[in-house]
Amino acid sequence: MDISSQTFEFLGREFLTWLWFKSEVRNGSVMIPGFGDIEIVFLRRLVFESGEGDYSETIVCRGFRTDLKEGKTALREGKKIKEARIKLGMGSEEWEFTFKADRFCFQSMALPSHPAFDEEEKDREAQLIDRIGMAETAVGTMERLFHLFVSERLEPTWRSETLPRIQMWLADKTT
Amino acid sequence: MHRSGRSPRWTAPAPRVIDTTVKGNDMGILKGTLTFSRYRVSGDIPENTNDFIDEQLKRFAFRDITTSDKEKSVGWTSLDNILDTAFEYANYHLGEHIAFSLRIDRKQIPASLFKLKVMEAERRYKTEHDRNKLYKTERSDIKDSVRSQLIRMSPPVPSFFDVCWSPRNQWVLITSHSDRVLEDFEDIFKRTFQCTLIPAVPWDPAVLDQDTVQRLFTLKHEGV
Repeated sequence: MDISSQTFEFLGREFLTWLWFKSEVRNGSVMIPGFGDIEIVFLRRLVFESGEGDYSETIVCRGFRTDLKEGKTALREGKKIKEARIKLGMGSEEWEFTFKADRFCFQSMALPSHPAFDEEEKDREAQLIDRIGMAETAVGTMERLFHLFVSERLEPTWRSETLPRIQMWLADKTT
Repeated sequence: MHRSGRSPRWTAPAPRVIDTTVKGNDMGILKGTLTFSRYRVSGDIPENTNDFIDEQLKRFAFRDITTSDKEKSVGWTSLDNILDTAFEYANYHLGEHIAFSLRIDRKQIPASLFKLKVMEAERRYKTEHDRNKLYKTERSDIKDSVRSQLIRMSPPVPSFFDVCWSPRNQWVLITSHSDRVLEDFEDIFKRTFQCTLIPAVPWDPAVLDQDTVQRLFTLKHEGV
């Protein structure tokens, strides 16, 4: 049996769909057991894809808060979400980035604002180490969320409970 | 050992002044928002890590191709200063990370110019040799010669991408999503440090436990 990263690439888009659902049903908050509440808000821009290869089609939904009906309509029509602009909050710190599901990668990541960063005198090297640390914190948190998704995805209750709730959410009914 | 006889990590460092204006690039790790690709580093680097990294970074440092007939040059430069390929005072150490930049210079010849110069060269050749036609090999030689001349005359276009490597945690990131850049990066990183880069995704079977891998495999064709 030949299993590689490509085998499970489909999980990237499933994860992003699940994350959107999870953030909306608890008003932008996702609980990671043993870690705490994480603020996850889908912002402004969602990218969907339908079809494969040469026949694929990309649809972009924009808006201030992307609880866009068009986005859910796209999902209902079988389009897959591949990219989203996300706000991630932990405690008083906030990150904002475009998350690309297929490669689990990050674009235009705005790091938490840090008052000391504005001081020219502050050690620039220390700032750089801080920046890398903050980026890693965001990546690590998204990975924790992914593992939470995988554990739910593998639960026997996925089909009987989670999936129907996702479908109700997609239909804009109370979950 | 390092030429100084001491490990490069502990050589007395000069005061670090990071000039973020040098690259004119807000896409790096020094300031602004971050765009990056992450890799898992597979393979062991020698026990004398600091010496190895120091020697290899210098060995694969960027080489200028302005006056050569090479079309592309790929190499490492200092993060702080793109003109620095000497990495004095092991200035790539950033806490427990190793940080430097990848510089890629490319020379490109406009297709229309190339075609025109080949036509001119063929005409000149025919006149000089009093011929009406050229053999296939002659045409090929003329093309190679023209390409070489034009490449030598063309200024290279540089681009820079910051790299941050955590040898302890075995990951590396580069500030690009471009397939072409990532391909060059993976290649030169492997040649420099003899380590293979594997895109860091949390569904990589190598980082999941075997039970999870098996269970995920069985649901592969189900959708959300």
